[in-house]
Amino acid sequence: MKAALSKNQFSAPEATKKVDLVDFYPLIAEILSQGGTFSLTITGSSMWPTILGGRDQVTLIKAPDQLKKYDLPLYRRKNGQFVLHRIVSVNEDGTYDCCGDHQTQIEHGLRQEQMIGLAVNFVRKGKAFTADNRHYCRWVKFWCAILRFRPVYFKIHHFNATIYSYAKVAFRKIFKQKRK
Amino acid sequence: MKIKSDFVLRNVAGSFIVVPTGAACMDFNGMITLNETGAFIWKCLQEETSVEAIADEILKEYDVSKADAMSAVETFVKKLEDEGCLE
Repeated sequence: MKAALSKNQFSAPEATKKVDLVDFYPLIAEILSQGGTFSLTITGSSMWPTILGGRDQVTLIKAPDQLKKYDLPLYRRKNGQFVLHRIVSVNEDGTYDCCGDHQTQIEHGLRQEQMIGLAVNFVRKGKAFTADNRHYCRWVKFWCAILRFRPVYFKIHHFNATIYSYAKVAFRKIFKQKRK
Repeated sequence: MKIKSDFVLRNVAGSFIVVPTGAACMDFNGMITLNETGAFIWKCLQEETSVEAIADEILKEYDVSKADAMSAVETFVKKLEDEGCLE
């Protein structure tokens, strides 16, 4: 009887897969605060053309006490959202202004307490590099310098992509006719 | 039947969470949360085992019939297999 009492109530085992970053938060915070690193596949296209959601991964470390311009931190917005956007300027009062690489709208006045992690390693199209990679640094400086002119690049890219997709369809039609 | 060694089970703030590390990180985006029974079976699966052996372990720990335990383990294992956690 005693043995039976000591046994726990059985409930069906459950395994739930979660991909939302909000679910990760306690885990990320714990690992980073212990000095560990955390790798994740990013989501969304707000950091394109540098890195793209679903394709590229970043490795985070705990955010240092003072971040620098061009750093790529993971921070939490006041509404609870997690964002990985680049610092485009550090203000005199210690707050940061951030902007995604695919954006021109700057988010002002982000405080140090909101910063959770800092991206130090990247895997882009399967190729790994660190945040102090020479080419990466040069690209980031250039990309932030032309922040205002980014829409021009996006338009050219969009135009090219459209032309390319039309060309592909046209080629396919021609080849199909030839085969017949 | 065994869990891939790239998956790590952690207890964070009272809940059981499985995270991929190393090579598993590339194929598996996200994480898995387990309830207590799920975590118990997961621990059994960290070493080479069978459904029957896990069911026997459950019988030692929980108040349940063998048939129920077997079917529960089978569904659970099937789910892990679909997610690509098993070797």
